[in-house]
Amino acid sequence: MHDVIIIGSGPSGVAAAYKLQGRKILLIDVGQTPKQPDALTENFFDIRKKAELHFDCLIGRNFESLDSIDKGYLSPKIKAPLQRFVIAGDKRFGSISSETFRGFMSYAQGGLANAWGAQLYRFSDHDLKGFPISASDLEPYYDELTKLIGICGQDDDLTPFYGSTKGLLPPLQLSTLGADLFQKYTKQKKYFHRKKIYIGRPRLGILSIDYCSRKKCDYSNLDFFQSQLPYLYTPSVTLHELIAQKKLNYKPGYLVENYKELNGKVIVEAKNIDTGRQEVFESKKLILAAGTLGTAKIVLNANEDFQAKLPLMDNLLSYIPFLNFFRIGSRPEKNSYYTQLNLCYTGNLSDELVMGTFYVITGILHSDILFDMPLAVKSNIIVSRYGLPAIIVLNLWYPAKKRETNYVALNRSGNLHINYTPEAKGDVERYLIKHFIKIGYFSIPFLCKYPMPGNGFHYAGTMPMRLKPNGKYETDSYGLLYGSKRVHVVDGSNFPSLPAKNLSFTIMANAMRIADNIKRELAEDA
Amino acid sequence: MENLCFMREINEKESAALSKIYLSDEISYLYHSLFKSSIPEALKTKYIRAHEFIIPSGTDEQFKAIKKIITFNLDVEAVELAFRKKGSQHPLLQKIKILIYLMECDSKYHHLFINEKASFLRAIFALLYHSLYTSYKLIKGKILKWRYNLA
Repeated sequence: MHDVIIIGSGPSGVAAAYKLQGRKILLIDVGQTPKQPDALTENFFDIRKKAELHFDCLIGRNFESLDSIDKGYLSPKIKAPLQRFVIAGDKRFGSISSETFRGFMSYAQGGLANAWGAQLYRFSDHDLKGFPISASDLEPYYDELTKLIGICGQDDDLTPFYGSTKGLLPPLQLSTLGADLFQKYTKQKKYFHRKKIYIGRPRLGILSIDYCSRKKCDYSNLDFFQSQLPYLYTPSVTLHELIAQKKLNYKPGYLVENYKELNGKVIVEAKNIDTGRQEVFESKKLILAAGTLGTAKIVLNANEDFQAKLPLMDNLLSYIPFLNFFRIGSRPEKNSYYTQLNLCYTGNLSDELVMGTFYVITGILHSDILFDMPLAVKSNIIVSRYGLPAIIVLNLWYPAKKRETNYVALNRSGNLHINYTPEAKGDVERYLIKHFIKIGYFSIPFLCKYPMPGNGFHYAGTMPMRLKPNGKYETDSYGLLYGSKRVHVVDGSNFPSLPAKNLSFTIMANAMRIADNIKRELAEDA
Repeated sequence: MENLCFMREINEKESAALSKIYLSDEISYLYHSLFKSSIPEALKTKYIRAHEFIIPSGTDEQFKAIKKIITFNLDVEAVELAFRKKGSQHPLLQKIKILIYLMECDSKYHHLFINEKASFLRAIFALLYHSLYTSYKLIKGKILKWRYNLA
């Protein structure tokens, strides 16, 4: 019998496995991988010049990247053919029905983090409002992860929001547009601070220098086309290290559908996805790390509960394109990294902090955004050719709160149903547009985009942590499911609230904290 | 029974061939209307092949509208803009999207998408010209949509 079974190899599952080294661990995963993990090696702009040769990687042999052409916005990070493995199998293993939410479940090795922007932020005590833990509980794990991952960033105006700069690698090079914006902001800092707008460098799991046998970022603009890049940290990096060091028994090809607690152990039922045969695994403890929606499905199924409506939160997002007039007609920057700067807004237009990231549009196909532009087709092609090198896009993330109308439920056919009420946005966007004119960055509210809820991939809150859990679908401060002695939830499911800051780093730190406690309990039992 | 199976096979083959002929005519017209030149064979072949995997969605009325656009030689760019401004994911828009993606992934069209030579003035003139051009196309598109009752 194993000490611990972990379900899922995303950020939380891998972080828990990392902390449980030394125990007998089994990690069960569907574990889909890309067919050609490192097919692209040249700079994106060189690839574009001989696009026919790379058609399979840009569009796909079976035109995979065009298959959602009738469905509106889809993140370019999961649209590209080599990235399709991240959400592949969502129909085969159970779908999500919703009119108001575009939800994704990942069955990939490394989970949805294969499509992440690697933005990694510490939560402050204010961010952890409603959690039964404080920032000091997570601090040692944040520090440990910072060393493990190699996070770049710097001490600047955003440090009060992002916390300790201990162990950070130097920030990445800015592109001309990013550097220009940052310089102009720095000159007008007092004005922006009066308006409660703060700008600084993001904290990214991207290597700005060679680190622990991994190569630094080469600014090749490939990030939207393949996830396995040496400078980009994803949970798969640590997973592969643990497997290589034989510190983990990794079992890919299994879909966990059910579990039960019996006679002092947990029995996990998993289906072999090739043969369809059910297999049973036993352990002293079970860690659910299948992602917020995946975990909800397993727990509801284990309880045969087709009535419960579990609360669901997601960070809603919007995009504001800003134009730098004097960069119009310039050549696109061949060597750049798309994430440039971060913004925090703390004014009255939102109850809580709104966070934003500035991106340059160098690493995607123009066709991805051409039809979001307001002109005729041919005009959009010409305008994008001259205009995109002058555009920096601000992606805003909003905090989410628990609402009665936002929930996920399991139906009898084994599929999830999600209801989510979108909120009216636009005030913060208009406010920022008004104040960025001051430094020569122009936009109009009409050009802002508001993708459907679910496109943020920041799902959380289905089984919230409480000091005193009360109800089948709440957990204690160590993620222990109410009424259970052995089943712990370690992914975003146990977040009682969701600030605008990207949640991945806190999911990982919290999973490590819970795993540490499980390790202590196992030692005490022994 | 054997005969029936044989007939079914013939019908499927015929319908695939007919559909290829239709798609070939469709893309030839769409491309010519948009870019005022004949579509290169390789691009046409890719467009037809894409339809084996991607089936644009829409109502019967919307597909009839595409046929009407081709039959009456209507201005594709103008009508597409009028559809897009209404916020519709019209199959015409989806088909043009497929075409533009395929063009962007063809090195022959690299210069069309990527600005290799920095030129501020040329860009400003292009932006001004295309703003006016779009206004004209939008008015034309709305009139065509109304005149031909395009869904």
